[in-house]
Amino acid sequence: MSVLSGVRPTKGYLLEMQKRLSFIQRGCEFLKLKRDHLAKELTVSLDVLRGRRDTINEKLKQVYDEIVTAYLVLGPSEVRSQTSSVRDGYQIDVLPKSVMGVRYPSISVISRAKVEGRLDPALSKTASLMAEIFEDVLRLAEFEARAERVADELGKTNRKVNALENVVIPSYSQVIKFIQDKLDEESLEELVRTKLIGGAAARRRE
Amino acid sequence: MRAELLNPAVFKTLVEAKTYEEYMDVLNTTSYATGSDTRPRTALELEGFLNQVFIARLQRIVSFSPQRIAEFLRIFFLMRLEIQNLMRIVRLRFSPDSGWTRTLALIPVEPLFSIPYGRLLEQGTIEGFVEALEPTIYKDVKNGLNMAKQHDALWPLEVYLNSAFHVRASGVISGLDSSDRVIVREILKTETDVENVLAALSWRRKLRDRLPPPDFFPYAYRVTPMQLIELIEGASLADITKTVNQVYIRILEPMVELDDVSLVRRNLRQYVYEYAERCRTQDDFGFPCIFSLLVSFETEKDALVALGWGKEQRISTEKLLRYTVLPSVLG
Repeated sequence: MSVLSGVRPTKGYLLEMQKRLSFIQRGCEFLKLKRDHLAKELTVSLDVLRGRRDTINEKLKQVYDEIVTAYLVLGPSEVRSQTSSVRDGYQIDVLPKSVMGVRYPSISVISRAKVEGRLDPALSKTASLMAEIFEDVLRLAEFEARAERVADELGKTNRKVNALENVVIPSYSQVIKFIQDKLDEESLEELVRTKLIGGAAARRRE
Repeated sequence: MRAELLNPAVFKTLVEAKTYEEYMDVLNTTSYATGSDTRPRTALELEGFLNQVFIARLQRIVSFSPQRIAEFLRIFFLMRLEIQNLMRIVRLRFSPDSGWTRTLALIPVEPLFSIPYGRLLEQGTIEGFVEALEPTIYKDVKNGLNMAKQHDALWPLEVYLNSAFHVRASGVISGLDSSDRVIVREILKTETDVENVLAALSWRRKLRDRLPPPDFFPYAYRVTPMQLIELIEGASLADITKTVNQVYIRILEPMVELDDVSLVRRNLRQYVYEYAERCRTQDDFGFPCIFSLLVSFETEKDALVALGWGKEQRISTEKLLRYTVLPSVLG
């Protein structure tokens, strides 16, 4: 179906269409600004994320190695018994935060696990290492969720900008041009008609 | 009974097993064979089964050993397992994990000096647990209760349980021949000192700004309590072990170089095994023979548990061998 179907070539409709186009163009500019900001945010996030992930993976590997050796030396039932004595595990709170209107979960630690004096030295060392990186892991999870949502929003914004630039704005421009042409044609016809009538009336007076 | 120990070829096949199932198939062809319906399905079940086999072998040896040796063996091996069980019962008070059942949590050994474990498990609080132990040789555990509350930790209870072991062991050791006493004391001293050093370093890692209470090291031998305090205050472990002897330097080396507690434990186990074996070569009939056999059974049991868990978790062979003491292979 053509964009021109149902178009009323009137002055009022033209003004309405021009108003709408100007509003859409302004919206498109804002969306472009948002897109650029999100893209910048995402680039920075990805760089930070890559660095943090490598560091945390390295540390997690170290913790895993320590746990494995503790299991090998103490035996699975002793390790399980010792770890079951750790009370008051980590308590966290997850609240929403927003960047450029993109909501992402923000994690805050309410209380930490108490491992002091409860574990064998082999496990105690592992627990200390884990406690050191646990909050980094939470921050990383928060950062990843943020980057993921920013990327998602960037995709959506990009699609909106493309749709506005390539479909909506051209179709409005086409409608406006059509109405303007139509109105110009009508006004020309009107002028010719006026001239003809004016000429005929003058001839009759003579 | 020495023939029941696994030979190096079997250990090689066990180490080379690709999966836990394959490992269990090989183990089933040895003196650790189980019926198909009682075959342990997990490493945790395997550990329970191997503990049962070890305790049965221990009881058998105890039953035909002379009275004074039998009494010592019961204290040295069974009482330590009982103390481990008592600590596990205390920890179960904290466990929210309902799947962690008593069958899997406790070592299958009958109480030696304690009251039945079932009654201890029924106690809802640590105070109740300590009170229930009042009529036993572990009555002094109540002295650690306040400290446990003050530090919000379980180690004070463990310290007093281990003290009960030391008191009892000192009593039965005096019944052994003087040459046998030397063997046992050497092992006890080394084990206690190494554990003290590890506890001191662990304390230093977490609570460097305050010193432990005086009861923290109730027994210390070649590494004195003063040296342990120095260690907590930041002294170098290498400097302290230098003042002791070559054995301690060798056992604690991984701690100095790599900060590896597990490797220290492995070295300690290897030292105890090798020391007991060395003593056996000097007297292949008396106490050293019985003692080294039991140490070999215990070391073998620990090795099989570690290998079983390693196979279940698909841990690399290199890592398994680094942290496991394979008795017959060393012998």
